[in-house]
This record gives sequence, C-alpha cells and structure tokens, in this order.
Amino acid sequence: MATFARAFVLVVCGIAACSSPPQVVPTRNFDRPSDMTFLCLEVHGRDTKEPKASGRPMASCQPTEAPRTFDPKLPRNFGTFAVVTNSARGELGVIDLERGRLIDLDPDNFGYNFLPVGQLPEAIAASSDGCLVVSANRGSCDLTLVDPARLLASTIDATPSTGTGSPFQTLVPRTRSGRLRSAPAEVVFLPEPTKDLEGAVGLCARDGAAIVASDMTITRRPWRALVTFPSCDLVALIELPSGQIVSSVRIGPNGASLAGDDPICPIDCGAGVTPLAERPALGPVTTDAAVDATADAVPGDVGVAVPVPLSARRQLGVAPLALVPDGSRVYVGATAAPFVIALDVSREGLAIPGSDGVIPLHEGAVGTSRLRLSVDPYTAPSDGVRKGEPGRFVGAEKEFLYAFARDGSVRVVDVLRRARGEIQERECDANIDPVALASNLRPDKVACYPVSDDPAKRPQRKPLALGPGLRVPVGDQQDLPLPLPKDIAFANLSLPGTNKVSNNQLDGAFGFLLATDGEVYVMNLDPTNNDSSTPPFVHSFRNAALSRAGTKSEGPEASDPVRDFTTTEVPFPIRIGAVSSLRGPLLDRLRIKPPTEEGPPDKGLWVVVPPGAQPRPQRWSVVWEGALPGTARATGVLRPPGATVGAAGALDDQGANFCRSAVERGDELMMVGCDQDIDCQRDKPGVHSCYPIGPGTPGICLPTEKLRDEAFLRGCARIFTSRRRYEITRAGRSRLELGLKIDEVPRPATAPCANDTDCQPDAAHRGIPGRPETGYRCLPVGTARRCVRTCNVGKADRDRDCRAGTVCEEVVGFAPGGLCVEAPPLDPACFGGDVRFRVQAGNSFLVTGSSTTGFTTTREDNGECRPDLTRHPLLSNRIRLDSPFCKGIDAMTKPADIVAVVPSAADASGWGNACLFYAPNQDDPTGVHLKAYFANPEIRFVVTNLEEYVGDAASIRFVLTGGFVPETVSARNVFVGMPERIVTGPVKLAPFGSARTVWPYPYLFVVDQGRISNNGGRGQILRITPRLPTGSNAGAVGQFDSIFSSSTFPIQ
Amino acid sequence: MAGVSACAIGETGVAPPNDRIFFPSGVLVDPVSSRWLYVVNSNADLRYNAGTLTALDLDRVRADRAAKWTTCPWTRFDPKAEQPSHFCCRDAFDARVLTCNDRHYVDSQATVRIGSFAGALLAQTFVRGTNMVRRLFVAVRADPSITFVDVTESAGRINLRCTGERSGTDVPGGPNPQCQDSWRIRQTGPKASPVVLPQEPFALALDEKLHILYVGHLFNDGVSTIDVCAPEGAEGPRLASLNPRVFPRSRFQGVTSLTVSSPGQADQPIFATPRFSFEIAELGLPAGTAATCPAPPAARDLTLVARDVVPSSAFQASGSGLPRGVDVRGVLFSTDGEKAYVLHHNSNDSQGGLHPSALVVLDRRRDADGQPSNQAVASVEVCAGPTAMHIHDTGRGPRIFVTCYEAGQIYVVDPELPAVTALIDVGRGPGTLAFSPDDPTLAYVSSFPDASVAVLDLAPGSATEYRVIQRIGFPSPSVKR
Repeated sequence: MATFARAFVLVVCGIAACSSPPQVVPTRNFDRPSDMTFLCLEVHGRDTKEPKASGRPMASCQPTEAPRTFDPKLPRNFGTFAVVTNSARGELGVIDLERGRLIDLDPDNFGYNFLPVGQLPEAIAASSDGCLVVSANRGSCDLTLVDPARLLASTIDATPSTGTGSPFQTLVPRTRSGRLRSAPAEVVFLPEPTKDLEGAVGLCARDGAAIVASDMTITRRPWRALVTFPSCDLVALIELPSGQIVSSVRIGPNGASLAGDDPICPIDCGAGVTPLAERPALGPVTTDAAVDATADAVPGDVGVAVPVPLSARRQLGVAPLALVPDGSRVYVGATAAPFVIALDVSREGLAIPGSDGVIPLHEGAVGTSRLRLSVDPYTAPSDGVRKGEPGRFVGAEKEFLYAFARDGSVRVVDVLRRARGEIQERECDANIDPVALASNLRPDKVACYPVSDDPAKRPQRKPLALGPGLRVPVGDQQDLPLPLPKDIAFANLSLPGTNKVSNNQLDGAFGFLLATDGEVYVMNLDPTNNDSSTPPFVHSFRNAALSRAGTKSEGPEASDPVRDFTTTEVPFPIRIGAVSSLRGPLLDRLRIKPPTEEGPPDKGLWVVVPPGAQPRPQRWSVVWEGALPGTARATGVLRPPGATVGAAGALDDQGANFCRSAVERGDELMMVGCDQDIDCQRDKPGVHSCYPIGPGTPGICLPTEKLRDEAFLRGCARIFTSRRRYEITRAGRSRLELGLKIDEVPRPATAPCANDTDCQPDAAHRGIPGRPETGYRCLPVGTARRCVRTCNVGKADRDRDCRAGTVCEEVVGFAPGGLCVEAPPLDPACFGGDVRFRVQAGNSFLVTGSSTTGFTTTREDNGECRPDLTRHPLLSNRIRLDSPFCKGIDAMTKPADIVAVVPSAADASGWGNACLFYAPNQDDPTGVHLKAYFANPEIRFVVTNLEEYVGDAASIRFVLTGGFVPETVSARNVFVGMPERIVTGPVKLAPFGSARTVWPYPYLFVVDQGRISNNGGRGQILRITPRLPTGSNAGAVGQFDSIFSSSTFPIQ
Repeated sequence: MAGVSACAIGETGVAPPNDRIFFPSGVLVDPVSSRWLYVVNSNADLRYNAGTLTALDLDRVRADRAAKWTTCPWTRFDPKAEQPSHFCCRDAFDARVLTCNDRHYVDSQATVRIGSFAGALLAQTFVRGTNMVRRLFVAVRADPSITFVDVTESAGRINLRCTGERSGTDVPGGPNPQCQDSWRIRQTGPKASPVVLPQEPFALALDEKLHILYVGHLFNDGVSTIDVCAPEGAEGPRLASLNPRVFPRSRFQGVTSLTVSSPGQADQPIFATPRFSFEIAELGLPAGTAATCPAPPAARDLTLVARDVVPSSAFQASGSGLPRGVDVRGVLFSTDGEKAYVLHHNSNDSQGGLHPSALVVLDRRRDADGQPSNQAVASVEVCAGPTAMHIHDTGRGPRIFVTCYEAGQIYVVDPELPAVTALIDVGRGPGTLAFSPDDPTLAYVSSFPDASVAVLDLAPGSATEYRVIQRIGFPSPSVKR
C-alpha cells in the first residue's frame, strides 16, 4: 500500500512537473473591424508545373449564368475572398467566402496571423480588375497597397502572377512638391475596363491595370483612386501604385474649388505636425447652400435655423465618398457641411460642375457621415449588365444617393438626372404625407418630391415626420429617441421573368438599413406590387405584417371597445348610477358599406385607419379627464395665493416641462394622495407618514410629528377632506397658476345648460326634495351658464351646503354667495413630504395609445403654454367638450364620408380636431346625440353621447391589432453588438427551387464592431440571406445566417 | 483577520507605506505649480490599515526622463527594497519607456493617511494669508466620507495637512498623520437627527465659481452637495443636501459621473449618469441660488431638483427586446452646447455583455418646442471597459480621451468627425487620467493593478506621441508590496 502511495505521489508529481504554465496565445480574431471589400482570385495553368493565381474581376468568380461549385477536397481554380480592416490592431483580415472561415495569412509563423498594414486602417477598396486592394490608414496617414495574388495565392495552391515579394506596400500620397502627410478617411477606385479580361488575358501585374486593345494587345496603366483627407477638406485623385496626386479639389463652406496636383495640407502625422492654431480657420458660410439650409425652416422642423458655427472651425471634415458605377461622378460629404459636393471624374482629373458642385441638404442636416448610392456593386449579368460594368443602380428609373446626415436622419438625393458639368441632383422629401396628395402624385408614382425652398409650396408631411430625411421607423417605444442609422445597402430581389409572387414575398428592389440597435430594416425602393392594393411607397419601410399574413396583407383591426365607469383616482369620486350599453359616452359604429337588401347587415367598424397611415398595434384609451403623460411628478413646490400667483395658489416644479406635456389653461391639477407610509418616505423612514382621510379615499403625506397635532389637522381639514383639484388658470413651463375648480356638471360648450333640469343627471345632483338650492342649478358664472351648486360663504358651517369632497368658497364671476369647489385655496403648510401631483385634461377625453403616449400640442409663448395652432391637424390627443362644430359633417353625412374628412386645423372657432356634430347613433337611431369626430395620425373614430355626463370615471378602451411593424432581418440566432457597415456581396445564394432556377440574390454582409463575447472577441462579420429560399416562408425577408442555418457565419 | 481589522481607519494594523504607490485610484496634477502629482492610494486589498494621499515630485520625474539609464535586466523587473530609491531603467522590450522607482519621487514626509477605497480626487484653490492653498477633496468609500486635505508649498517642499484647525497653518507633528474627523465630511444637521452622507461616494464634480462640490454615490442613486463657499473655519466645507432620487423614472441606479455643464451659472444643469439605465439625469439648483458666496457665509439651500432626463438610447431595442447601452460612465458637452458626448460602458453582466462600449453623440440643438432633441447622431466604438473620458487639446484641437480599464488602452476621439484618431496602449488597468496644466502634451494615468503611474507623451508629431514614455513605479502587482 505504501508502495502504491509513493507511486501515486510520483505520478502526480510527474504530471505536475509536466504541466508548465499555460501558453498564452494571443487572440487572433477580429478587433474592431470597420470596412470590408471583396476579391476574386483565379488560377491559370492548373495542369502546369506552376499554376498562376491572379486577381480577376468579380464576374469571373461569381458568374450568375453557371454558378461555380466548390469541392473542398479539390484544388480550386477560383476563390472569392472578403478583406476586412481590423482597425484596432492595424491589420487586414481575409475571409475565404467559399470555405467560410478566416485565413491565416502567414502560416509559417506561430499563431493565426493577419496582415499588418498601418495604424487605424478604417476604409478599404478593391480595384474592379481584382489586382489591387488599398486601405486608408487614418492613424499613420498613409495608404497600404495589397497585392491579392501574392497575399492569397498559397490558399488556392498556386503562385502569384505578380511574382514573388512582399504582398503589401505602404505609401504616403505625394503631391508635386512632396509628401502629403494628412490622415486619409475613405478611398474608392475608379473602375477599370474589365470586359475583355477573359481566360488568361491580362493577368495582374504590379505596374497597373491591363488595357486590352481590339487586337488583343495589352498595355498597362496605373490604377486611380479617390481619397478624402478630412483635416485638409480635400478629395484627391491618386495614381497607384505611385501614390502621386493627379488632381484634387478642396471643399470649403462655399463649395468646391480646384486644388490641382500640388495641394497644401496640414501635417497630421510624424514630425512637424501642424498645430491647430496654424491651421487656417474657415470663413462664415455664405453659399446659397447654407442659406437654403436655414432659410426654409418652418416650425416643427428639428434643429433648423441654426447655422453651423464655422468661424472657429479649422475643417469641415470631408470624408464620405460615393462613386457612381461608371465612375463619372463622385459625391463627397463632410461632417460639418450641410451639403453634398458633386464632382465630375475622369482619369485625367476632377472637375467641378456648376454651383460649385453644391447639392444643398435642407433643414438642419449639419453635415454627413456616410454617402451611399442605391447600387448593387455586383449586379448579375442576367439583369442585363454588361460584363465588366461595376454595379448598377437597382430599381427602374430610380437612382438615389443616401446621405447620412448629422441630425440622425438619412437624406435622399435624386441623382437620376445627373449631367456632366451641371448640378441636376436635388434632395427629396421622403416624408410627404400620401393622405394629403392627389392620387397621381402619390409616392408610389413619384419617386422624388424635391424639398422646396419655399415652405409654403412644400407638400404636407406625415404628422410625426422630422424634416425631410428618413429615420429609423418607430417601434413600440415612441417616447425614446430613435436608434441611429449607420449604413444602407441595396439588392435587387426581383423574380426572373414573369413569375409573380404574393405580396408577402420580397419581389423588387429593396434597401437594407442598418441601425445602431442592431436591426436591419427593410426599405421599399422599387417593390413589385402583385395585387390590386396600393403599392408600397418609395422609401417607405416594409411592413412585417406582409410577411406574417401569407397571401394577403393583415390589415389593422380594432377590437370591440370596452367601457369602464368606475375606476378613477379622484378623491370622493362622482359616479352616475348604472349606465346601459347604449347610454353614456361610447364609440359609434361606422357603417361604411352601403346597406343591401341581401346578406347580413354591415357590422361596421369602431375605428377606421385612413389610407396611407401606418398604425402600430397597440392599446388605445379614451379617458375622461385623463392624466397628461409626463405630469405625474413628486417634486412640486406649492405657493399660497398671492399677488404673483393664481387665486388659489400655484405650483412650481423646476424640473417639469408642462408645455411639452401639453398642459393648457383649463386643465386640472390634482394633488395625488398616498396609500401607505412608504409613498411619503422619500428621504428616510419615519420623517413623513401617510395620513388617512377616509375609506376609499387617498390619504395625504404629512410630517410624522404632525399626525398628532390636533390644531394642525383641524386647520388643514378642509384641504384634506376635499377632492384636492384645482383649475389651471395659467400654465408655464415650470409653474402652474391655480384657480378654484368649481364643482359642476360639465356640459358641452355648444350645448350649455338652459335650465336646472339640464344639470341634474341623477338623484345625487337633484339635491334634497323640496330644497332646490341643494341641487345643481344652471346659473351664470362669468360669461357662461354652468351647472353649479351654490352655498353660503357667510355661514359658519358653509361646507355643509356642498357634497362630500367639495367646500364652499367665493368664486370670481359669481355673486352673491358662493359656489361649491373641489378644494379650498392652497395652504402649502398642509402638505408634507413629496408633493405628488398630476395634471388632468380639463373637460376633455384624453386619447392615448400604449405606444403613442402623447403629442406635443402646446408651445411656450411668452412664458405660457398655449396650443400650437400651426401643428399638423392630425396631432391631437383630446376630445374637448368645448370643441367647435365640424366643417362638412352633419347629421346627414354618411360614415364613410365622415372618416374621409381630414380635420381642419385651427381657425377662429378653435382647434378643429376633434370636432363636434349632432346625429343619431348607429345602434340607436331614435334620437340625436352630440358626437365628436377624432382623428390622429393612426386612427379615426367617432365618440357619441357626449351630452351625457357619467361622473369622474369614464373610459373607453380598445386594442388595435395588425397594423405596421417595421420589417427587420431576423436575428434570432445571432447577436449584433455595434454594427458599422452593411454591404452587398458578390456571392449569390445557391440555386434553389424545383427547377433549381438560378435566382441571383446576393448575400449581404454586416461588419459588427461590438464585443460579442466575454473572452476578448471584439467584432464579427455576419451574413444575411436577404430572401428566404426555402421553407414555409420562402420568399419572405431573410435572416442572419448562423449555425442554425448551416452556415459558418458569423465569423469572429 | 488583519484585513478585517484594517477596515476602519484609526485602528491598529499594518501602517501603509509612505513612499510608495499601491492600488492608485486617483491622480491629479497640482493646479497651481504643476510640479506635484497627487496620487490616491486606495489600499484596495486592505493590506494596510489605511489608504494614503501622496505627492510625487514631477520635476524629478522629468529630470530622470532626460537622464541616461541602462536597460532593465529583465522584463517585469522589480527592484528590491534595499536597492537605492533613485533607480530607473529602460524597458527591456521597448527602450522608449523608462521605468523608475516611485520611492524617489514621493515626499514621504508629506504623505497623509486616509480611508480605504478612496477614489476620485479634485482640487479647490483659495488664498490663506499669503499662501495659495490647494484643498484636495477625496471620495473615500470605506468611511464613507469626503476627506479634504490642504496643500501648501514652501521652500520647494510640499505640505499636506488634514489635522488640527482647518484654518491653521501648523505643520503636522508626526509623519503621515491620519486625517482627522474634522477633515472628513460625513454628516450635517443636529446631532440628534443628523443627515449622514450616503454610502459609496464615487463621483466628484466641483463648480469652483459657485463653490459647490457635487458627490455622486454608487449606492442607490443619490447626489450630495457640499457647500465649499467658506473654506476656513467651522462653516467650512458643509454637507448641504442629499438628493436620493435623481433619476426620476427609475431607482437604485448608482451615479457613475457628474458633469457641471456651465460652471458659475446657477440656472444651468448638472448631469448625473446612471450605471443601470441609459437615462442621464438633468439636475438643477433651486431657483435663485446665489451665484456668489454669501457674505458672511450662510447656509445655502443646495437641494437639487430633478429636471429632465436625457435618454441616450442609440442602442435601444426597437422591439420588445431588453434595452442595451444602459451603463453610462460620463457625459461631456461641446463648447456651444449643441452636442453631448455620452460614454457607454460595456458590461459583462447577466445579459451576456450585450452593452456596447461606445461614445454616442447626441444632438442637443433645440427643436421647435425649445427642447434639446437628444437624437443620437453619431456613434463611435471604443475600447473595452471604458470608465471615464476627458476632453483635452494637445495642440491638435479638442480630443476626447477615453480610458478603458479592461483593454488597458486610451482611445483618442476627434469629436468633430467623430472618429478614433489614435490608440494608446497604457498597460493594465488604467484608472484616472490627469493632464499637466502647464504642458498640455503630458498626461499621467494611474495603473491600478500595477501600482504605477504612466507618463504619456501627447506632443503632436513627437516620435513617441500617444505612447507611454515613463512609468513611475515598477509595474508589479500591488499585492507584492
């Protein structure tokens, strides 16, 4: 046994001795990837001793007519690769797209090796002939030229056609005078002619692109690329591989100017960096573009009329580039220039079209961070593209530039009519309200509405639109700022031939908008409409309901409304007995279809969705005197009545913004009570307690030591036992001035009481038999007759004349005597702890949705919150009893005609949405009732029986199902951390279908910089199948590939 | 047991070294002379019975950089205690980095003892007699307290003082005194019902013009205000208010940073960032708060009022997914106030590290309602584990320096583009970054786990720009000390 133990110890010791400290292998995966491009490598002479690999045009590797098959067991003659900038480590990584994995670029060395280039390589481009890749290294102020053949020949078992040597070369661009040591931002190659690069003709060489003459002789000419330099506001045409600047243009606040082949720029790297103070300051913006961008501002626009403060700037930050496929025009943006510059491009140099090349972006664009064209860069030849043509705009007669503006929107510029030497491009308004347009002008027929310089001539925008640009579509969190759009890519997903599919399948041209929330939103660019319904509008976002609904769109539909007449938080609530199903406020059915003798009667609709609207599925509430969103707070400071405050006192809340919460004069402030001590204990336990008032009535927070202070409690008893509601006589941003809220039976302003009977809806309001003064009476108060209850302020027990929860006070405009009111004037000493309050919509029904909590309907004007009468007429959330009568609606108006009415905005009679009219009810045509027609951007309905008062608690609720949910690429099996780029790739989906028809749908790729694990990984490349090829959802919007879709993506 | 006994300042235990850096958690360059670098040693492993606040002589540091030194004998060389304190050597891997023994730079007589787990450090300056006094405020989490230390300089010596009369000028009797209770702000109000400084004081912000020190607490979600109007006498720094619920829509957030948007303007907001939310709290002083100190000093109502929230929701899931980007570590504003820069920390929490590490730019221009739109207009991915950011101009224009604890890096972001323009590898666990007031091309960053302070060269065009050029303290784990 002892021997065994010794042996065991020895073995253990031996094992321990063998286990040297673990080798720490450096992580060789992505580290902040920022950009990617694609390469094709082709092998010639596979049957010779020394097969040659050469970069080739992408069409060689990805011919759509006969897609190449890949057998991992055999040497291959074609290889398609993606090159990714690994910016944090200053490297390039390469993905073998056939094998679906990263490549070790230096297998002779230990570890998994990438290609070191310069510091912060953030942008990359490949020449169209596949012979050269260039990265722009922002951190080291240089460019790295990569020879794909030398870099990757070994991966496809061949030797490079460009000979042996280093696969990369780093160079600093050169002017005529010397080196340009400014930091580059973006780079793009001018296209080279590649249609004759067949077979072994024109294999890559180091000295330039192959030009094939008609007699098949080959000459070489240097490649040319466009590079931007932000610190110099320069765009330069650079000859490669020499790095010589051929031509350049400098962009300033007034537009573009030629800078020739010898531009002078600040030094950003190395010795002699130009200090900021020595860099020339930019002058003020004086161009028409700047004027345009600010002069046409209208109320409601975001961030308008604020000129960019350029005087202290040293640079505009010229960076983004977009080159049209034929290379004839380039668009250039800058982070601080509210315009895009268009330049004419030729191999000889850059030229500036008219207007100094300026394409204005309107209404506070500030600048641009990214430019993209609606181009598929690898469009299939089956689409009629000639071989060698680098990409094509997708969609018929639709050619757009997308400028990612610094206001969080994506501006759309129509570039279809571009012409050499001229600026015909114009910014489009992507938010025109189709409801307000004639049918021949609707956005499914007109691709671009130029943003008018004259706001008066500008077509009406959608109600909640912010400026002319696209924004990430709103989901179910309307209160939050939207995610930021990051990039967009396009693909033509049209079915070949005359095949037609249902509308739940993608058919046509679409954009894929990548946003910071990790979602990829599908945008309609030129979708094919396969049925008689209204086609999707250009630049609208695709509705996910289409995908879910099978062959037919799932239209929005409202549930049967549910009413509640009992639930309220108002102390001492008023409730009017039992209310029958036909009595009290209710939604009126809208029988749209004409009556027919045959068939069941039309049940009608409770709620109508106007054409072109995109209602979101949510729960809607119509609540009598509902609490305005954002007004439930606990940080108020109460002021007693005085010379500078309201007759009943005031409430100050420095942190509140009552104007944004749409508080108006006439609304009601309610001091919210407490239910238990913890409701009052903001600071620490014991300081404040909840003083109970009575069963079923909220208590009130008091300092704990006051709970036994009889004198104090007696002094505040009138407040404690009241309904604690005040009428707001003046609403400011952070102050509410208060008046006494009269205890009354609310009546529509259009139907004031005529006699006491009008004021006595039930026994409780009729008072004690034989004592008419104890009932509610129709009396003049101020200029109107109102249903009030009188009392005698001179009596010692004056409050006994009033019902529970109300007290007797003198009221301005009523004399002699007094009226019952819902609370006495404020005494701040009677409140302790948190002053919890909320504001209720006075004499109104408040309309809110679970995803549409409110609109800003007021504006601060001379320190007071007043209704914004210039807002869109559909921006309404109240049904007021003092609304004006409807224009164009009366008792004879058919429901279909009612809901077709767009409510008028304000006029002399007031805000016209909602508006009132009298008509019989659809379910009870025996009488005429007061109704309100209400419309907001998503729904329209009619509430009836408004003349019937049912007390404090009255609510109608319904659920809207169906409707608009933005379609996104399914990311169920992947996590997108911090997406940076989306690009349309050259690789097409494998043939599928019963006949294995080749459908040339490209994969899309997403560059994600985010941390996607806890083990140090930072960044990944994801792949999107844009259109599901098989399965029950074949044809619908696709998904991010993962192991669950038999893919090796994401690659990390 | 020793660790437990070391928890409370004033109890017996192993005294901390007076000439070393150990778990440095805060650094600050002297705002007057730029000669001294104050280092808060946090005693994070509770090895000693207190932390320390010490001063390093930057003149000596600079002189050693100019001198010739040999290469270190091996990597991670750690000189023994018996070796001379004045010793430097060039890094064996990178000769551009000079590593020096910290003992040579510390004025061991000036070091004072403070509570453990101290962190944030900042300075107020005022005149006492003919002396310019720097009052250093340190957030001490173990007490918890805000401990303050008066610094004076005479005859080339530095004097740190946190004992005796506040307005006195006497030099501490013995070496390395513990800061007395009267130099620790812990409570206010009557003794019978005192208002006590909440736990976990973490973030500090000083409005020198309004003479208000704001303290953010990691525990719960409070911000305390300290009236520093009257630096001298019994009135002197006074806990003025506690504001326990600064995030109106959520609770138990933890305040990770505080930003005074417009120093000296009492009507302008202070911003507090949350650890578990994306909603930055906008706080305000009571209306009518005096913009100057009342004379004679009187109690000011500095109760903060929750104004609004600034949602930085660029990563907000648009569907019903969980919110992302909920760990915010700082907010800065452009000089024109039209842009806000929000630092999102990536948390490897129960959600699996879903929160990106990013700098998000918010548009703060006013919309038609006069409200900042707060729309995200740009985002820049930054290094892993960003904990703080500073805006600083080294001569290239304003740049945002993002310090990343996990990655051991500092990212430099041009806020105008915005884009990352440089990456600085600074070593393990960079904590606080401090810039030299008299030389904008130098910065100092504490390395918490390596017990050292790195000197960064920020001179534009320098061969070592954006590199560590010197380490004060041999970078060995603090626990070895």
